[in-house]
Amino acid sequence: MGEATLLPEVKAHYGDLQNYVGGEWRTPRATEWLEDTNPATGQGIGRVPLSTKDDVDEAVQAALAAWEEWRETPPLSRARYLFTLRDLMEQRFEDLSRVIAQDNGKTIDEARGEVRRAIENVETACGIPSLMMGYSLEDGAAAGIDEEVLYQPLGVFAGISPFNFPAMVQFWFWPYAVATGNVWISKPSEQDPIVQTLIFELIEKAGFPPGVVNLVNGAKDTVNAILDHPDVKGVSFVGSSAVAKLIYSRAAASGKRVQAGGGAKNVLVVMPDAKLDKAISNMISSCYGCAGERCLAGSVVVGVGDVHVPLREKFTDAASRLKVGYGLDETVQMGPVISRTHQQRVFGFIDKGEEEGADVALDGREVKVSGYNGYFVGPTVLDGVTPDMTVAKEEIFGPVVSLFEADGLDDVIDLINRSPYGNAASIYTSSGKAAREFRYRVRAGNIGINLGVAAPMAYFPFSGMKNSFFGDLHPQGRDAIRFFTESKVVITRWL
Amino acid sequence: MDPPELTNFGSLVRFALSLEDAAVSFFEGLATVVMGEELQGLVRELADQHRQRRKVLEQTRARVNEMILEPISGLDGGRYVFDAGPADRTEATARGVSLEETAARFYSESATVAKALLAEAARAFRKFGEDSARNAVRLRMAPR
Repeated sequence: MGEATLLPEVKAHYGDLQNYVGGEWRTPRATEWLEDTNPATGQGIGRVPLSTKDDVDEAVQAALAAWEEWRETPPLSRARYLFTLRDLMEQRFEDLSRVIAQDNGKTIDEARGEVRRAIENVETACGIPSLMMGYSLEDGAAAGIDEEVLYQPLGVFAGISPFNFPAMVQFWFWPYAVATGNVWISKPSEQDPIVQTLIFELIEKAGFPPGVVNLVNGAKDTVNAILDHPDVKGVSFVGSSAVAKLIYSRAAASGKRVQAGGGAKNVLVVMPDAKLDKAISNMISSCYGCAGERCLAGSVVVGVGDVHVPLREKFTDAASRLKVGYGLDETVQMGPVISRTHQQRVFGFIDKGEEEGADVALDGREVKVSGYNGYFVGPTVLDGVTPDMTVAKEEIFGPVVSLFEADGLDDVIDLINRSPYGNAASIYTSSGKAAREFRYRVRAGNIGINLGVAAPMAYFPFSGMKNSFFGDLHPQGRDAIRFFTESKVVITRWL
Repeated sequence: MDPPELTNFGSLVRFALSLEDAAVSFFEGLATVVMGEELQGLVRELADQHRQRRKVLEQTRARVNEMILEPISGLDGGRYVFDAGPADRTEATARGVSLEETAARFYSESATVAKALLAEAARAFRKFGEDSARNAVRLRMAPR
């Protein structure tokens, strides 16, 4: 079908991106600009400014100027801006999704799923009058002395988000930050920031007061300026573990609150009593969805006992049938990875796995997509992987799956718990006992039972343990409300 | 037409949208060809019904849950090839019946697949399948 199923791009080129600061679109002082490419075609589709320290300061000052009036705006009134934004996002749903597919490379289905998740966070934050309520106790301190707790905003927060979910991850943070009365600066990934420009056009249209929500494009120096700025009270981040740890240390050193999500090496465990055909389909989606560039992606599949042989055969067969191509073709099941550099890095991991003795049961290095010169990596399966191999330990962040064989559940739980990562883990089983054991003992923040993408909904925290998360309170849900507010206790006696 | 590739949720909805667009054009055209007030009324009603379905499909497509997006298998696109080209008076109603029967088959069979992906999609597809099966019977029974 090819051409017949290819959706039109919203625009072929998005020009020079700007910052949105104090309610205005501004050209930053940046002297350096990056070319943003469509990963399927390799063609430039926009230019990204690398905003300077002064650009960041300008955004912080605009946010600070807006803060007092914004925090005095009643929570219900603040929520109304989010209601308006939600409607605007529904109206532009398809455009937002298509821009993500064009700029990030994921399939249009995956892009629609991402925008849906973003909207769900706005919807959840609309409940702020209830979510932000404190509590009180009459005679809580002594007879005639009442005690209550209030949740108060802190000021300027900033969010630094990764390329893999260019729309959604900012929404894990800012709707809650702003709904609780803070002001905000978004710094999207420099690799695919275009959708955030569209989102900020909607934010502007929704009528948020100038300075309440700001956008600053940039890269490392922009991030450092945010981390070091004395008037930024907290930072939300998602990215690799190495950078997450750095962000956590550097921001905390200047007294900021930090929530920093890191990388992952997620294990999918298949027990002998699993419903194999259903499990395979679900695991394929987990491992190859978003071309494996998902912090909840399965990257190690472990067959326990006798199931390993049929698992290997069926999994490899299903992976080999995935259609790779441009995500705007609605029949495509897996798109390219984000960049040429990342493609080469993923190829390097496959090479390394082969050198260290893994059997390349399905090789994605030679994939060709007719008519496209993008950054494609085909679905790859490495069999006979052992825990000491590089591919078993390091995050690949691509469509490469390592297959392991294990004797029993205890062995797999040990394997998971030895990993420095703790983002997600899943088990496929018909046994309640095995599922319960897994849930209880595994040290990972998001657990899937017969589900390979354990992605928490907006009203639950997006968890993470060990090197997959640095901080205390996670994005989304009640954790987000607590992260963006300070508890103030008031003890009252009337004389 | 070539058999549609039904590989994932988006391609399923995309084919459904193309089926609905074709049905709207076909029944609108048919209304100008067929004789008799009753049949003309029925054909216009069907054009409206297919137009309404398009809106439902677009809304459904936007409700996708990325957590359970799985590749689709087991649907044979060859079973859903349809002809919605303009027809003369003698073959017009028969082609309309065939179009509705194809729609009924597509929606009822894909409702089962869609159930694992999105409850709203399964509900919509099931209803569209039942409606199309009824439409085929009504068209067949309508006085010429």
